[in-house]
Amino acid sequence: MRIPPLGTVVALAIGVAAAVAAQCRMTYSISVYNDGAVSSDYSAVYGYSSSIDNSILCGCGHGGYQTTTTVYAPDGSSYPSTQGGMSSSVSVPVNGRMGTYQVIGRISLYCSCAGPVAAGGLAASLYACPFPAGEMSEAVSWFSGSDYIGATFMMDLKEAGNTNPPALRYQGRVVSERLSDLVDGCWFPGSDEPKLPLPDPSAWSSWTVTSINKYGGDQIANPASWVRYYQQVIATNPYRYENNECSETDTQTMLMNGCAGGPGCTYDIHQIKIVVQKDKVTVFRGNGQATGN
Amino acid sequence: MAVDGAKNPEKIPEDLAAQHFLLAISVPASPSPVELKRQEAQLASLGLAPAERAVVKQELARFRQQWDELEVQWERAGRQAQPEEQSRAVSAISAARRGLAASTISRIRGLLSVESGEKLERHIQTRVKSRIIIYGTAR
Repeated sequence: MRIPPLGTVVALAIGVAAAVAAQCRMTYSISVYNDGAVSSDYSAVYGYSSSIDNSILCGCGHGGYQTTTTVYAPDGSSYPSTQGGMSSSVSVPVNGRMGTYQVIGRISLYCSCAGPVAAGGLAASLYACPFPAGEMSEAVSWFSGSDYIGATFMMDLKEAGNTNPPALRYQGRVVSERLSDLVDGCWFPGSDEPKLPLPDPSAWSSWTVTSINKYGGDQIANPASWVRYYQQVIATNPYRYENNECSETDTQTMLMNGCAGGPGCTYDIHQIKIVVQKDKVTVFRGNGQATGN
Repeated sequence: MAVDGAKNPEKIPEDLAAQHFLLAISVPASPSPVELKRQEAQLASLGLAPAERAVVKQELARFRQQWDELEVQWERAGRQAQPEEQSRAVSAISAARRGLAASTISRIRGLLSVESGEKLERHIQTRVKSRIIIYGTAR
């Protein structure tokens, strides 16, 4: 009887070949599938395996199937479950252990020709780490000083369907921003103010999410000298800009870090806009806005 | 190993992927509350709407009942002494498994919206196939 090469993780305890019909050769063909899923509330991770025996038996008997699913949690704890038949599953409480879980499936059976046979053992990864589906911005204060003019925003992280996540879902996670595509629509050749540059990445901010899934404040502002200069331009030359206003825009991309060193994720991209009029300034951040002077 | 689906998903036969998927996502007769929660999490990860999940569960229950009967027949075939008879029985059971999986997938797709049906197809072609390993000889 031919012993199939099954790889390092597969144990084939083959005894002696049984007498089989001369024209027939017992050939193993056993497949194993293992995978996992996370409950929608992130309270449990489920590992599951299925195995299928498509061997050519040629008079040998295969029986006594048992399928074992083992889940390894990010902290190294293991949760095995063995069930008779060709499938098994196991439920593991998350208990705050976000990160990468490993699911390993293994089938064992008894072959009347070869004795105990086992196959399986390669791990499938499951990343249990929640990410928000978006955020809502709310302006909480206005500041108008000699350096900068703008507003401070606080953000609420949101789940799919714009619903609120349960408390603590994102507590302690870090949100960071990436800025791009800045357009200074106020600038014109001959302007006294230089074109606004995209802030250097070293100046981009990050925030730690609170227990109620909020973060901030994000100060959206431009230099006071820039704002006051273009207000003066609009006041003295009302035809320079359409609608007597000009604006600066850029794109703000929001990222959240991953769990237990795993990969992070971009969860929201929105526009930032600062509109200057002769007697007021309006700041937009995604859905939120504030007006002052 | 004969085929590692993570490296060569195209070498995992369609009918084998369907059998594994259905077997893994179905629950046995008289499921425990944990098994039902596990199935709910699996169906949710497919992105199916709640109403779709309900009808899919019915199809999966039908599938599992018939599959378990075939599993009993398979073990019985393993005990047959005559290789020729055994070979015929095993071939018939393998064909019945493939047919059961194909018809179940077809019925489930018929119950889903076009978009959900495409999600299911993508799930089997990409995720399921990439996590199947065939040991011994691929058939």
